[in-house]
Amino acid sequence: MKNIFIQTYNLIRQDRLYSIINIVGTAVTIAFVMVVIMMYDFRISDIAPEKDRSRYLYTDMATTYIKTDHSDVSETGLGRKAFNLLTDNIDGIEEVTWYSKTSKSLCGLPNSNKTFSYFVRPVASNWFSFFEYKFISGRFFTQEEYDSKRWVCVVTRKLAMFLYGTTDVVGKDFNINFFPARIVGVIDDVNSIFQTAYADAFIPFSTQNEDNQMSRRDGLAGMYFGVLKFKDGADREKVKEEIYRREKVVNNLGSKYELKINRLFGHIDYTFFRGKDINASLVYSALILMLLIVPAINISGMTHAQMQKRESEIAVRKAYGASNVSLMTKLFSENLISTLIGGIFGYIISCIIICFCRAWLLGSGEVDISGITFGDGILLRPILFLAIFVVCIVFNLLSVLLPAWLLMKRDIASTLKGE
Amino acid sequence: MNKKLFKQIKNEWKPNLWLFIELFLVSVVMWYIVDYMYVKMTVYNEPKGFDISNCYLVELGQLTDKSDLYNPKDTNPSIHINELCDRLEHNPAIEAVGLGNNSYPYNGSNSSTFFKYDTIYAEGWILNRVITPGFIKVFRYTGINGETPEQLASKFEGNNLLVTNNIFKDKIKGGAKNIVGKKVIYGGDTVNTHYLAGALVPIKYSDFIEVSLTPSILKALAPKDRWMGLELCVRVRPEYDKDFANTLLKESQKRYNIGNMYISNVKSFDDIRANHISKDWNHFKLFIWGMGFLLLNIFLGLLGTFWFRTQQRRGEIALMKSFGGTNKSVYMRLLSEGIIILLLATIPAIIVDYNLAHADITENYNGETFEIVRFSFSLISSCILIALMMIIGISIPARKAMKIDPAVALHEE
Repeated sequence: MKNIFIQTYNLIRQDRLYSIINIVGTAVTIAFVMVVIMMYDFRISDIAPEKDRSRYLYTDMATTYIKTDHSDVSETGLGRKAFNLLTDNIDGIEEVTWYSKTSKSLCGLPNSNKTFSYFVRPVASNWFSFFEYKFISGRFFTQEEYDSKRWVCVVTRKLAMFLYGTTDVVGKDFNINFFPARIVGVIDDVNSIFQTAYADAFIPFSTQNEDNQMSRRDGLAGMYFGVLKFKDGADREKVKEEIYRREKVVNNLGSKYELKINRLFGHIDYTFFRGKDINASLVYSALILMLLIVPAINISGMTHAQMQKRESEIAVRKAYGASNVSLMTKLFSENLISTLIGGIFGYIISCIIICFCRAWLLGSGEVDISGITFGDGILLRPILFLAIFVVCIVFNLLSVLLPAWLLMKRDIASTLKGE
Repeated sequence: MNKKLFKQIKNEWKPNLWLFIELFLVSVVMWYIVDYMYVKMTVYNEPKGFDISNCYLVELGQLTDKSDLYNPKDTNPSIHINELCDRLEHNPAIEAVGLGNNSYPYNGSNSSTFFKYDTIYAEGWILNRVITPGFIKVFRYTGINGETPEQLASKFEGNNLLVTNNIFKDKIKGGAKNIVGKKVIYGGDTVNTHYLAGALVPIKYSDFIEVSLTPSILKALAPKDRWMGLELCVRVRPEYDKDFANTLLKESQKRYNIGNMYISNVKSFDDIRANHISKDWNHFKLFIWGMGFLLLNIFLGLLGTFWFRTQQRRGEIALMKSFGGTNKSVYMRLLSEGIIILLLATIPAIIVDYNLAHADITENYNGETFEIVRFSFSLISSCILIALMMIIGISIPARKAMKIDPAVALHEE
């Protein structure tokens, strides 16, 4: 083992340019691959507050139109009646919550003319048990407050600091769109990476005049956007079928409107290509493959040229009884060291890229882009290091295997004779 | 010379094969990226048909009984919308005020309708923009024959419609301008008679959506249909367009809170646009990064390969020089080697590109994924980009090779 390090060190010293190109090439490759992996990982991994992303099912936009002539088409969220009928007590669903789209709302202190726009999300009463937020003080609003449509709210540290300069604000009031709302709880800031869990303030969904919406389109259309959580091991297709079956039932209730759920999304489809028939995992895998293959050909071409210098060394080793496998392993591990060095640089570069370009790499329209942060150790999760290691091994395999194999095939005798 | 060059390339086929495969792969991917960017930029540069400079969207809210300011007598704040438009029009900073439904540019929502002249149907997705005459002045829609927004607005009333000139595609020669003044059928409306009052320069839906995909009809918004759920847009005089949004919000509590209706937000259309196109823009940026990545790889690959090559060929280069080869000829020889391999790799790449384009994998433009000018442009540009990287990559080792002193190198041998 020690020998390998010493020889690698010497090899790096002997052939500086080759080593530099090798390490730089690897670093760039790993950086790009890691950026892609992070973009994918941050949006799909189970990370608190969206701690069960892999089990979420989203009801997105629904279309309603007049049954007879398909006119008066409207695309909105679901209405209360439709939402309840579609999602109540489904086998295989553990919990159901809902929200209405966030919008920037004017927030300000009472008796102050200064108002500022913050994202306020109307949510169901079980929202804070469905997602996992870090409470700093206070509590979430109760079912009673929800039912009686009280203007209570939970704010983030950022908003509390902005309004009062302290997080000790439970029981104080502020205005949301000129409505006085009472703060009942303060939570830690929510990273904007979480498209659904993100907001600066949360208020009961029931305050949003949903009854007004009820009257329109017979309760089919409204502003319910649901997040359903599958039970562990539930048959997901069956659950979806059940919802579509219920959709038919809803449409047979005698309304002049018809409801069509456009699609039910799992988390991956929801967060990437919503509404398009593109398989995100496939796209990302293809992207990673392309990012690996082109530089691998590059490096293997160079490795091939460089290894030819070592033909005689390999021939001597072989002559003294080294097996092909042991020699291949040796070449592989030698190169792996420079690959790992490149990998470390690559990881650092990828962190820099993702920090600088976070707005467009991770941002989506419904969140505050400046709220995308990496302070909570999201870049240091063990899974990412595992990913780097795996990528390094794969990259190394791709770039060394072929030249090493070609080298093994050479006839020892002719090499030693100097032909 | 050339014969020798080919012979040499053939003799070193092993390392060249590596280069060949890499260049082939990169050519295909680069072609795809350039093609994508070509289409996106072409669409982006199409005339927009509207102007959002100095324009703002005024969002309205409605007080409920939970607020201290709530006036219980005012049960239907929507009736104040005309009053609000009137007051805004009297604001010296504001040039034009318009109301519309799913109509402003960079809108997430849209409505569609049917349109027919005589027996000719307008096919496809026809955007239905129901607006007030002021809306035309706000976004400065212009007529196909050069009519100003003001002229168009004056004709726009009652059952007079305006349509974009491309509404019938090729079905009417010269476009809709040739049937101006004629009777047309709008939506499912069989009761009222509609007339075409003018044809407009085609209006885009968003920067990255082809203008030909979104022909529009402009229909006058009847006074009885005005309510506060509509889009209230204003154009500000350029000299007043400094911090307008905040100024209007500040003034609004005193001047524009009417009954229970209030101005909740004022958004600049520059922001609305930036927000609306951000996804496409981000996508575009990803392709630029991908392109940079590939070019960097070409650079590194050629740098490495040719570095070894010049080292191996020290003696040969020295000989070449001692027989009268100039620095330039040494450099050109190395460079030609790279370019020839690139050209060779481009041949199979063209075949693959051609098939990809016909397999509908590339972006759609004008309903086509393959079009000869676009194909050639993308192919040649990607080739030139790769060649440029090649020149830089080869130049560094080649310069070193040029410095070889024939006497020293041959002595070493």
